[in-house]
Amino acid sequence: MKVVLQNITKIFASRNKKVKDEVIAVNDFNLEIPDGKLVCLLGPSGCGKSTTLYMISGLQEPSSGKIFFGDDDVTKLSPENRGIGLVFQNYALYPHMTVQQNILFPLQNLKGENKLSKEEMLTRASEAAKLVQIEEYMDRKPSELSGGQQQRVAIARALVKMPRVLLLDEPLSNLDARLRLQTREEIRRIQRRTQITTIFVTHDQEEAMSISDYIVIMKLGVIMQTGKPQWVYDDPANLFVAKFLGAPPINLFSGKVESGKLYIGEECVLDVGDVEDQEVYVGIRPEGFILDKEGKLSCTLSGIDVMGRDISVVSTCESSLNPVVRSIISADEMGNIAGGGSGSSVDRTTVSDGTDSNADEAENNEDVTVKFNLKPHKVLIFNKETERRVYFGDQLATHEQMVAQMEAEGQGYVTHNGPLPREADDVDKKATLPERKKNVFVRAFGWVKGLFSKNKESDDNAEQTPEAPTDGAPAADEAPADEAPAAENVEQTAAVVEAMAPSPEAAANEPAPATDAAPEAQSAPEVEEQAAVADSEPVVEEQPVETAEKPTPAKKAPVKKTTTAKKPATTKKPSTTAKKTTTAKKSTTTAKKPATTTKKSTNTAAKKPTTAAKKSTTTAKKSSTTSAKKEG
Amino acid sequence: MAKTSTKNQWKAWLYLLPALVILAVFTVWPIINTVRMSMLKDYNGLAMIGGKTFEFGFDNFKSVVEYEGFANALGNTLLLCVITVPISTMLALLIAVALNSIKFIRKAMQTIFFLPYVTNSIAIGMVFMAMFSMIGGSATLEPDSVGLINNLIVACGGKAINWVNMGSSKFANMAVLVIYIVWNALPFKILVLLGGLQGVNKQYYDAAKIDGTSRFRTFWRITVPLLSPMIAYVVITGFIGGFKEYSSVVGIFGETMGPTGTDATNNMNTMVGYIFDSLKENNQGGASAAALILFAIIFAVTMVNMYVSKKKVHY
Repeated sequence: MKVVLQNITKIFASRNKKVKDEVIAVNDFNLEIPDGKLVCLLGPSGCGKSTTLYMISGLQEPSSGKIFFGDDDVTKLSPENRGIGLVFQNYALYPHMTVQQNILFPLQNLKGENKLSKEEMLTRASEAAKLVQIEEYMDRKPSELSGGQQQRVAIARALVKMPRVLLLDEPLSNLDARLRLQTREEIRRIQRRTQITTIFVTHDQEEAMSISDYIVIMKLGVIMQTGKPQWVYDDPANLFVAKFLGAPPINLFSGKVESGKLYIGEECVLDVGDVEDQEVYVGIRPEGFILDKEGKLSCTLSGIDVMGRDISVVSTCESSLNPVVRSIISADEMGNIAGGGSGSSVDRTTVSDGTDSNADEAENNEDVTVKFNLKPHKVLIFNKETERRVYFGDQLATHEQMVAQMEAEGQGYVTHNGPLPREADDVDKKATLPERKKNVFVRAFGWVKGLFSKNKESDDNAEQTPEAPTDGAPAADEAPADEAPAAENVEQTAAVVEAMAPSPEAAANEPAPATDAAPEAQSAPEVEEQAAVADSEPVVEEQPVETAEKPTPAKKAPVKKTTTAKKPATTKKPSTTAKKTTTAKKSTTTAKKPATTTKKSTNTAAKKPTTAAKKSTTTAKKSSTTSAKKEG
Repeated sequence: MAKTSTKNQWKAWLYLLPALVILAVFTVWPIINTVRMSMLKDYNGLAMIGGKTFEFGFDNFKSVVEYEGFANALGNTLLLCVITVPISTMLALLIAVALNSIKFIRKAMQTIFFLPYVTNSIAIGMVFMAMFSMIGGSATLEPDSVGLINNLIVACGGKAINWVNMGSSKFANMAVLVIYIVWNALPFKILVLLGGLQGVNKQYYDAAKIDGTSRFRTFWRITVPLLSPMIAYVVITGFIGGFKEYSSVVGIFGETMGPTGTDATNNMNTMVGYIFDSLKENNQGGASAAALILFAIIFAVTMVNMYVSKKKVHY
């Protein structure tokens, strides 16, 4: 049974009723799971994978979007009518029933024409038990079984009613390492035999890689990439995927591309052909290093771990973003190098036979340098702003070939095309606090300004002074903030606003204008919506160039865009941003004719753009400091 | 190791001493004394001080059992237990499940259901009596008021029943008592069962839901077995409390333990009531013997309960 998820979004209301926050657990999720395959939903905790599973099961209802099993729309169907089997993380076996009763339980629920005779039930139960190899424990209670056996009972209970789709929610996380290994093979075997479409949720990348036909990597409710495990490992679409997959993890370096050459620090390590000049993250898989005396990348050796089959060279490098650089060299290769004697790539120390003595020696001698050459296909570069993959050489061709093959197999290739979500907007609580602080600053700023331009106009509107958005605005209240300073603010900020976004179209092409601070940036995609530039793709493409100069605000802005641009109506957040945009717009218009404005609009206008102006200055500062840092 | 422990043992006993003394004086000695008194024929504290000696033997037990009101008291007690405990447990279970499944006004409902627990049973017993009692009237005259409950019955098209007044049937008396005792026993049971329900893993219900289990089946096959330890506890304590029923009868019928015109052979007296009666007559030997008989009965019933629950209860 093919499972299709269409634009699934799940929003949880915040528990705290005062803060009208909501958490978007799953955001605009589109996925097609081909018939008879085992698919893993993989991601760090809190990425919405379990929520997705529960929505497929029907235990949770999506906030919007549709779910199809085959051609049936099951979105509104209750769980029992969907024909699913679900294995819970802690199995949820009924403790008061024996194994047999547990397995029989779903069958006894069948009614009407589906009703089975007692013998049929028993045969089905024993078949299921046989499949998971627990026939000899049929009379035991779950508490008398080991974790692995309980787990198999849970699978048998899920399978016995012959579900159309089998769902497994982190089924292995309660097992010890050895049992986990064994059981995942078991699950794979059962799935292959039954050919039931299976969806498996896990946070363990190794587990996912080893058993699934396809993996779906998620982050903060968004699909980051789908694909066959090996492909995703070899060809990650973005930095997150590259970091998430692989043990030991990928080695990350800060680097840049300049005139077709890839630099890590000052060292030119690779030719990358016709890639544009940009700041990049360089990810190198541990197996992508070749020890070479003439190697282009030099690191300081800090130890050698011998792991039997492989030898892992642990070193440090200035440009590395991880504390250590871990490179795995096969033992054979190491031997060859050792044979070279003084020709070894490791200066001054000869890695004679890869024993610990060398490591010790290396530790004593802090300045031992190791030099590596890199295997081009194990080097992945990512744009520093978007964190998206930059293909070079024949990587793009390989990628395209892979995508084509996946399409042919019926599993659409999905990556996250928009800007990548970041933890910062995971929960908005984080954002509310600094924002409030900012408001105080902004208010103080406005108040000081008001002092200077106090008596410009009559203050008959004193009571309608700009109100702070959150609570009583001390600055505004204390200052005899008449219309004059307000109007002035409007003029100034209007200029800023105009400078930022001269026209909606321009804003659309510039999703993250550098001056646009985080909350205000939300308006950018809205403007884009209004300008009816629906296609977000070109925007994204342009974005790295646009934002290259000012990394910090740019990071925040595009994130908001993903949530807003695609689905403005379904999420609450966009609607608030919509309001913001309109007020901002109003301010622009009112600013031009401050004398004739109504009280209210002046007030809002005065307040909002000031915020924007203030924020823009702060962010501008921030960005300059960050860029300074990077240069230094 | 052993040396140090023996060395410091006197300290341990010292610390235990206050508790031991209190227990000995107020718990252990009364029990022993009860047994002693029950063995001395027609024991009377005052007479003993006067220098009287009593014959040792089981005569007290014999006279208690042979007493004309004993069978009535025992019968009443057993009947009340057998009727009220299952009814109140069932009702409490249903109410607890209902309370657990609602979110809205749950707290308010919980408070309402818990109210009987914090009220005085004698006082509420008198309120119940007022609700059931007829005022005025006699065998020939129509009563001035037939009471709240009878008013309801009449309003629903029924006929007024003499619940607790002179000439009322034993069945009516028992019905009033049962209603009152059930009402009084509910809150504690609801509290315990609700606590148990909230401890049940929600995933069992999710699993049942996915398997398409009907609500009724979910209740019987999942909720009840998972709650069985709590249910067993509630039933056992319910039986123990039921055998000790006394204040409810006093609350409704007063010290006569029954409507006017009844005596020890046909009133609503209970075992504990019988013990009190014996004490009132200064027959401490007989009271002790009756108390021991009651203890034996409760012990036996609890043993049966435990035996059954061992088979049926899933811990």
